[in-house]
Formats: sequence, structure tokens, C-alpha cells
Amino acid sequence: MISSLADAYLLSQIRYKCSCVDLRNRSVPALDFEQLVEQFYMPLYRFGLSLTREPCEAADLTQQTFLLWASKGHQLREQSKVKAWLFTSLYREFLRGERQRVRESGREVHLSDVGCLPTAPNTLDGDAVVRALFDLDEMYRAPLSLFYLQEHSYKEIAETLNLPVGTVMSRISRGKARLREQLADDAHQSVAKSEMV
Amino acid sequence: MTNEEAKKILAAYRPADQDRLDSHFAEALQETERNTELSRWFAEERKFDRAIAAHVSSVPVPFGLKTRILANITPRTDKKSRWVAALAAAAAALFFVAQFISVWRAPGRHSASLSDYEQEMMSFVKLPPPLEMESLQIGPIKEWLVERKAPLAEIPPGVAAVETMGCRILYFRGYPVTLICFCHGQTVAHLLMVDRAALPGLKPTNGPAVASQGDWTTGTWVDQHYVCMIAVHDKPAVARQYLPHT
Repeated sequence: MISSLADAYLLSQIRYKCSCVDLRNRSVPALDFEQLVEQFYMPLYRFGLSLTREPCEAADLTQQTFLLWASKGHQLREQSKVKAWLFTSLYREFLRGERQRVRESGREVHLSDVGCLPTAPNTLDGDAVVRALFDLDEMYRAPLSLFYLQEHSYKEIAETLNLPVGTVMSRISRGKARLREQLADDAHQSVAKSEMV
Repeated sequence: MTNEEAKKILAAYRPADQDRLDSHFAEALQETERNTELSRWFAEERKFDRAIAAHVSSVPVPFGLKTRILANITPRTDKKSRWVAALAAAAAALFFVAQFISVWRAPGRHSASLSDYEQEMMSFVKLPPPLEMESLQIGPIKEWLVERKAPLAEIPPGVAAVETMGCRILYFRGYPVTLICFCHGQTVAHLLMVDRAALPGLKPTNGPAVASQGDWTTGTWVDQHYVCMIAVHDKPAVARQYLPHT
């Protein structure tokens, strides 16, 4: 009963803040929405980029996430969960896109098969660290990206990726180890190239 | 705690100290104060993490992305917000009272008519109740409902074919009612299911009975176990696409 009361109260509060989301005009209250975009579009884009490794796809994912917010965000009961909602929605949209790609191509597409960065050399070239992070398998890349964006605790990462907390901690730990290996390999290759020259 | 266990925990400790008050890290952090090797490892780890975090946080974002997002989702000023807020608060209070009454009444204490049920459910869905579970697919929703032993009839193909939003469990005269919300164009439509025992005397029907309530259309049918109702904020001709064909 307390839960119902709390739900009803929260619902009225959220409705006050996000009154009448007009989906036909894709309209949401100006101030709240602009603030929301301002606060989250950059970390969302960076998370999207770490997943897709394609700047254009990351931008589309970011926009799609805010469109979803405009249509469904008003159902969120706790405003403190806006961040988790946005990142979770982006991640789900990414997974949905991947599933669709698998269906269309008729075969399993592993992210590691996809051409790796740099896809936008002018923006990322020279940043071996980011390239190495993006080269990791998705199972490590997603939790590590959220971790390094520093927006999320391990508990929030678990919630966003729908994984047990223990799994998240293992993947962060192992992901870091692989990242170090990757960086070490890159460094060795750079040294070898310079010696050949 | 071994060094390896401590390292695994501390690997998830964010480099800017945001987790210093999280009790999950307390023991491992204390261990770093006692263990020189672990302490050295942790210092290196944090240095590494700070460097990576700085790079990740400085990945450039396309110029104009924010403008593009805002342009595609046009903000508006809402002059009716106070009026709507008052109405929403009143409706929320009514929702609460209805919930209270329905939970308070024990199953079977009072027989109810189908009309009572339809009216009460419409009062819920006209003010969309917050969802307990959100999913864009019907599969996870079904699993969630099965786990909670909530009423779950066969989902009409028209509903199964569209994107869902989520579900929750309501109560009618003490009986659980499953509410599944799904997308109807750019509005929300609702599928409600309750055990037939909640509405004694109802017999299975051959097909849905369609009715209009203001701008809403409802379609109600009864199978061997459940009374099902679909409520759509649209015309009957449009709402029929979600009703089962018999």
C-alpha cells in the first residue's frame, strides 16, 4: 500500500515536471529537456561510440535515446534514475540494432569482426588509449567504458548492462588486464616500426 | 582477504574517489593500508585509471549534436502545467483510493459485475499507472508475469506484433489484474487480464464485445480461465486490429 501511495505521488510529481509529452509534436517541457540533453548527451555519445565504434552510429544512438525519453521517459517513477534510464536505453537500442544486423546478414556478427577504429582518424587518431579500449571485446568494452566515463558506479553499471554485480567486477578487472596487454602490444609495435625505419 | 580478491574489488574503484564511502570497498581499502605490495599496486592502478579516464572523457563529440537533438525534439512551453498538475494530483489520489479499496477487499467477498470491472480498469488506464517492469518485447514481460503468477492469457496476435512498453499488476476486488502496456501509434494502449473467478457468472465468449467510452474503445472477451480487455484511445475500427479473431 505504501508502494502504491509512493507510486501515485511520484507519478503526480513526474507528471508535473513532464506534463503532457506531446508525441505527435515530439514536445517535452523546454527547460527540463534542454537541461537533460546538456547534462547527458556527451557521456551518452561517448558510451555509444565505445559500443558502435562509429561516430555516426553513436550520434544516432544518442539522438534515439533522447527520442525514447520524450516518448517513454514520463513513465519513470524515480527521477534519480534518469541517468540509469538513459544509459540503459542507449545500450538496449545498441543491442537491438546488433540483433537486427544479425537477422539481416543471416549470420552471427561478432563485434571483434567489425573493422576497428580509427573510423574517424582526424578525431581519434593518435589516441592509442582510446583505440585500445575500443578494440576490446564488447563484453569488456561496455563495462569499462562506463567505468572510465566515471558516471557510473559498479552497481549502476550492473543495472545498465543488466548483469550481476560480480560479473561486472570481473569484467572490469579482466578488461583492464586486456587493455594493458593491448597497450603494451601497441607500444612494442611502435618500437619495432621505429627501429625498422 | 587475499591480494587477488582485494585487487578484483579495487579494480572497480573509480579513480576520482567517488566510491570512497561505498562499504563494498572498505575492507579492501583497509587492506591497502596494511599491505605494502597491494598499496603499490593500487597506486599504479589508480594512476593508470586516471590516465585512461582522462582520454575517454576527452573523446570529441560531433559539433552540433546537441543542436540536432534539440531540433528533432522541439521543446515547448506548457501554459497548462499547473492545471494539469492539479488534475494529475487529483487523479493520482483517486488512483490510490481505488487501489486501497481493491486491495482491502478480500477475494470473493463481493461479487462484481463486468461493468464494474471495466469502469474500474478504465479509471486506472486513463491515468496510466507507473509500470513495474519495462520492456520493449513481450517475451520478458511474459516471463516477469509468470514468475509472479500473475494472470496471463494468450496474447492476441495484434498485440504480440507491436512494441510493448511494460507491465504491472493491479488489483480488482483483491484479485490480481495483469496490465500490459503497448504502443499504439504514438499513444499507449492497454491489455488487462484477470482470473474469471473475479467476475463470477461470466461464461466464455465467442469473441470480443466492443464498446466506446468517450474517446476510448474497449474490447472485452472471456476465455476458459481469464477475462481479457483491451483499451485503446482511438476509434473502434482502429482498435479492432488488437482484438483476437474468432
